[in-house]
Amino acid sequence: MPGSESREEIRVQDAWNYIEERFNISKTDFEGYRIVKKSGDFWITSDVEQPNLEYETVGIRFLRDTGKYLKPTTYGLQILGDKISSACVDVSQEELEILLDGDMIERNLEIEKGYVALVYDGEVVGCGLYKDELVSSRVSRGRAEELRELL
Amino acid sequence: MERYKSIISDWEAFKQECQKEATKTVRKNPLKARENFEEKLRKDFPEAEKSDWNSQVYRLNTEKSPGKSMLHWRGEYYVQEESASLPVEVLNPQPGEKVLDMCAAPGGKTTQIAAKMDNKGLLISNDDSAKRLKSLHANIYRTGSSCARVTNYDGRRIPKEQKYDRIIVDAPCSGEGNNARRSFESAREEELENLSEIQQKLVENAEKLLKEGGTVVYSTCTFAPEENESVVEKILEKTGMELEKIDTEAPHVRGVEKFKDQDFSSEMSKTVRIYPHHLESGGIFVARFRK
Repeated sequence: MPGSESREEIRVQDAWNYIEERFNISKTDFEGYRIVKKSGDFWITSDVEQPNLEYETVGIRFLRDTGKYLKPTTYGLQILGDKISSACVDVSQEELEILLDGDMIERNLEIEKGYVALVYDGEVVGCGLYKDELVSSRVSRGRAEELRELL
Repeated sequence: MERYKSIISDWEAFKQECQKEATKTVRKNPLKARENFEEKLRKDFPEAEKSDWNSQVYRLNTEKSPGKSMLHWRGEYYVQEESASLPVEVLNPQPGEKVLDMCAAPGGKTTQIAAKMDNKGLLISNDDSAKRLKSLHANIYRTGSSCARVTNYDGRRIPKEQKYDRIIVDAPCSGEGNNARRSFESAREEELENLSEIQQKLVENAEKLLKEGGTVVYSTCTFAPEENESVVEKILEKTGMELEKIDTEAPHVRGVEKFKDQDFSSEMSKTVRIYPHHLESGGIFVARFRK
């Protein structure tokens, strides 16, 4: 994964490359969008010149730089949605409940360890981590609690 | 609310409706909603029916909270009072334009604008309250409104280098149209005076930020003419902007031309007032200016 060597060197192009390679998404699917680096993270927004203002946020936080890796956000993966054709894990309701409760589920996937899109009922619900044939949830606590209540 | 008896012709209907809870309504978010949105919505809310005048709005006629559903969690709809969807319909933002939402939190209008722009173009979603930005961010993220860039300026002091095609000033107001906030109580005159001055300054700055030929929509959720027609009249006097007549299929009445001892120009018939009994929702006032 990009960024594992030196945090300062992660550029916008690395972010695009990561998304393309990990989730098998073509940049052409995202014409009209741009990725902007702000506060150390990568944000997805519309591809227009922005005026010189003091911004709190620009669009939607897309990838976080964890210091070790680039980590897609749940909202970012939801934007990618059904364009994702790799590194996605379909889960049943029972499995999603397990994940949202903080436990792991077993999977044997033909992908490298790293972040995955959790898919429930045909929709991307958030970010997970695949490692050592186990999947865990990386959906933020607040959003996970909300979702858990709805299941 | 008795002070408005002279300007609200169907007073009894108004009074009755103000004492009821508004019908729960949601606005479909085309940035996230799937083709089977209606089917899924009716699974959660079997009595859901489309609004007569806004095809994106659904009346739920339910006791259940519309904020507690998977569709809401995924951002496929936004919980919004039916009348509150009118200002952005009147603004009519287009993909590729430069749009400013001057008082954007908590994000109902900003997310509606982003959807109308299909996330193409520039949307500056500003709010002067740092506290309210949290809900604005959450709603932008949930609805996938990625063209929205959030700023935290006092609306009266937004830097003027950038000029916009369209600006919405959904101004801070006394909120008389919001029953939950006011319990059928009108605002104090001192409060009205202060708000009126702020509202006027916001629209004055909007005019300076607007391109020639651009549009400003001014809206409040209050009944007080001091915050509505009076502000519009002062703007007409102070700026070169003109009022444009609003045509809408939403049930409404026109702006008032007289209140107490104050006369307003006949131009006010170009503005729109929606009262709670029109849509079983909150009240709203909307005016549209052209530069």
